[in-house]
Amino acid sequence: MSETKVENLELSEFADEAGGAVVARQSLDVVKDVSVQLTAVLGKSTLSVGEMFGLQENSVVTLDTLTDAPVDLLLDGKVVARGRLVIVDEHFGVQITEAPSAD
Amino acid sequence: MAVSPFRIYSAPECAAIAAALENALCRWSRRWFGTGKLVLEFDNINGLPGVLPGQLQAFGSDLPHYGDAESQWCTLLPDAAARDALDRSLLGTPGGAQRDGEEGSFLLALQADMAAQCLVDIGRAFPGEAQPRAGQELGAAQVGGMLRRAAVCGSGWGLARLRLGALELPLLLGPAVSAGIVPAKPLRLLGALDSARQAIIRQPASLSAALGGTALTIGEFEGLRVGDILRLDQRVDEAVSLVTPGGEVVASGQLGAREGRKAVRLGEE
Repeated sequence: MSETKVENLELSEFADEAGGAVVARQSLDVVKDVSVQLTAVLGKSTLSVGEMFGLQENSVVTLDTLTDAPVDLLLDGKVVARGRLVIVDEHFGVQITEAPSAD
Repeated sequence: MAVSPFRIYSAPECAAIAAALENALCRWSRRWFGTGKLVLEFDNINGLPGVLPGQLQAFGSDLPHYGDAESQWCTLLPDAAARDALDRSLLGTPGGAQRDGEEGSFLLALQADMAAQCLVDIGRAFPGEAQPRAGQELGAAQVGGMLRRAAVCGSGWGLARLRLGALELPLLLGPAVSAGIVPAKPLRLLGALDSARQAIIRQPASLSAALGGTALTIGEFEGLRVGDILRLDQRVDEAVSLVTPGGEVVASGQLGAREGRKAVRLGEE
């Protein structure tokens, strides 16, 4: 058996000390290249579970938003911007009418 | 027929298992113990009819070891999945069998006198519980009174809960027993399921109509200004999804209008 010296590791207790310079920059700059997924939501419809199960092909589900109402742009379930629904190169598009607020 | 604890038996299969058990075991126990009473321990129900003589053990002394710590009740269904499977086949709903205490234990009573004798012996094994006296004859009404909950399936098989003080045991009853003593309550059970179903159907379901989104970086997102145009991933000829708050797509269809509001006509495309 080899001679291995084993010692106990002891963690010394930190005492409270006065604050110094901030270590992590509190700026979105550090995450500006992180990609996020925005979802466009046209509106909601509230029906009963029974009605939901009764939906068939060609059923029309009317939403709670007027035809010209702005579309919500959601980030992680929260509305972060609104805009007008447009068509861009055969794709749906949103022209921003309410920009993300800085908070 | 091979018997597995992990499948649901139809009523005819239950009856076939019962008949096989009854034929094989009643003869066997009459021959050895002079009674039609059976209290059996199964290590594993797989291939049950084939292993009967060798594997099954009868507690054949005058005071059977019903359910003490060392010996199990006759273990017909060794785990919760199998128990739920039996519940479903008998009651049409899982969770009818007990959850506490005697895990995976069932008394299997194939004849009325056998069920009564089981109760007598249980009374002996738990003397503090003021259960039937040894040798006392139990009428259908008395046995029925000890059953806290029971139901009978179409084949005549019954599943009951037997209450002994703090102890509750599931009791599987053969057709001959359940016909005489089980207070049949399948209609009440179905009624409860039906009202649960009605309550679910009336629940509001909120669906959002969503377009596929677009990915952009946080930097681009911060730079968004009024008037900017975001092109979404979704083409105008692609369907709009109706999604639950949990994000599940329940239907999709074409975006349009109805009475001045946005609307979705459901369809395949």
